[in-house]
Amino acid sequence: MEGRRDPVRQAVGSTGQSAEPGTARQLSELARELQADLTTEALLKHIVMAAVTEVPGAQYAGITLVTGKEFATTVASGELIERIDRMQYETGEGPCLDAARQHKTVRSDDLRAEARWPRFAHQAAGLGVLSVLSFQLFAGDDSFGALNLYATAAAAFGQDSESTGILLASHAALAMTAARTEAGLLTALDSREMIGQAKGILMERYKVTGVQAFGLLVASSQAVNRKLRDIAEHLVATGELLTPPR
Amino acid sequence: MSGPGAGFSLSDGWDLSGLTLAELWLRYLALGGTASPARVAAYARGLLSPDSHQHNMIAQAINEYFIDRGEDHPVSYQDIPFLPRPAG
Repeated sequence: MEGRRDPVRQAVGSTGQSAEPGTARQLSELARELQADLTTEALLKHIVMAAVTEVPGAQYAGITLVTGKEFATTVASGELIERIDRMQYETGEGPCLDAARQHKTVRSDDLRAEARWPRFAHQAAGLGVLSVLSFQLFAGDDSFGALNLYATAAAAFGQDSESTGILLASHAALAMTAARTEAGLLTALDSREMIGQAKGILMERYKVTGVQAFGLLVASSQAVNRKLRDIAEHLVATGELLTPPR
Repeated sequence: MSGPGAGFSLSDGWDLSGLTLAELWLRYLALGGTASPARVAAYARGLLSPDSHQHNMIAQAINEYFIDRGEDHPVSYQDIPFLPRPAG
């Protein structure tokens, strides 16, 4: 990393708080530069930092991911964000969850008077946060993500905040989609390897073809109602092809 | 060898799962499949006739979606061998 310029600082510069005409272009350049050589987590961290400096009104920012029942604030500009995100998850309501599940963008100008999420709003206002702006990053089968911006003042966010925020959210969404695809492919490769080994064991043991060996794994999967990868892993580890108890 | 079961067709099972083609193909890939996403879609929709091995890989890919949710194997297989008796 020696001698590497800080791309965020370079793109954001020292121009202050407001979104300037060149911001969209700067952010696109930032995204290109970052995607070239940063991990997804580092990229998301830079996007969160850029959200605080570039989105008018934003004081805090974070990216939240929900996968099944697992909830994680992956990157946040401070501890307050993790507490607020967790409040939403625990109460089962809030702008981040609405944005992630249903809408592209959700905004609240004063949580003291917010009727959509009364329990969350009451708790967040108790921490001094009054304005919220959330953007959907992606919404999958059982997982979703959102970029959340917060401010202590009421009505902190305007139309310019939304347009700048959407740009950052789209860059974050692209980065996360790429990471999810990569993770999915790695899992698939791992599974193929395990199933390949298991087929080899069965081919040798029963003198069958690879297609027949696959059939045996499927028969076992069906008989004990477990996934093929689990059947293969058990076979490779123990030598036993799972069958139902007699 | 058992014959076709009374379960769902590939196409109906796929619809029931709600998987996208990308999700289905990734699951098929994880099982060792080598056909392209387009070919998997054509097999699943009946535009091409898969051999029993391709059929079973796609059926398994769909069925595993349901196993993940605590359900059984709703999509039927073709020509699955009987399991050997456990030794001992």
